[in-house]
Amino acid sequence: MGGLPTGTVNGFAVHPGNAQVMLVAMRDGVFRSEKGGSGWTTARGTPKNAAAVTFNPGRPSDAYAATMEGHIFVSRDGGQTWAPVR
Amino acid sequence: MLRAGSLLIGLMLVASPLAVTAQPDAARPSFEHVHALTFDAAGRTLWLGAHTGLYRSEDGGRTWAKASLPAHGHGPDVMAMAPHPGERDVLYVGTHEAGVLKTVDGGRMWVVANSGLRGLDVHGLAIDPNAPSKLHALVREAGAGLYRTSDGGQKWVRVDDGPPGETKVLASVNIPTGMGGIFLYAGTGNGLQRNPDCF
Repeated sequence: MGGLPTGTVNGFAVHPGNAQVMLVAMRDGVFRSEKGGSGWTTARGTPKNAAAVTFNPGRPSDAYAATMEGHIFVSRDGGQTWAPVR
Repeated sequence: MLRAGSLLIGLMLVASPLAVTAQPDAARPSFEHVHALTFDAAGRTLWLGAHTGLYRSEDGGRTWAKASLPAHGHGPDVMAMAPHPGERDVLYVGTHEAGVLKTVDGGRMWVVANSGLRGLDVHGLAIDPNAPSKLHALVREAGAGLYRTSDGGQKWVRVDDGPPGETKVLASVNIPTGMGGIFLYAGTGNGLQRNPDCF
């Protein structure tokens, strides 16, 4: 689907309130689409080697990502910027 | 040993009394390789599936406790997860060697949900957000293919070969296809793919 780097998609998440908003986890980081899988953009602070990603259905502006090694990152703006969980 | 075709009923596998036990190094246990991450329906418990098993966090990923699954060597390699969208205690997990496991009490007790699966290497699980008793499972190796259940995992039926390439993640997405169904998305070694779920 358009705009993603070539490679393996390890993780995938859909916004609980808007199914057109999606995140994917890849070796190059977390990418975000607002168009159901096209027009992907990379996120600031995105974790490299991303293995999995999810939205929080209780607070959909929050998203979490895990790297292959188990480092956890959080986004408070729906996946546009990321920071490590401390 | 768990086999495909095991009956859901009668295989109630009760975890130890300390079903969820803290690890000595609870902050970040040795996951070895993370495969999946998801919240429960309420957004309180964050679940993580890894090569070394299933973990849960109640503080947004700061600390983790290992959940007890029916033992399988080092513990099942958790490849995929599908939380019920409306019931926070219901979670399905797909494993590398033990098929599909289901809990309806937040992880205290697990049942094997493999009836109809011809293989136990499950690399993707998707739950329909509109009809949560309907799920799809992607099986690799023996019995490879895409399976569907319409009764919450009591019986699976093979419906398709599944997407080409190695599937890493599977999800039902509430985007209408125009044909009465929604889309099934797959993250694979060949990128992100989608297909109407009307197999």
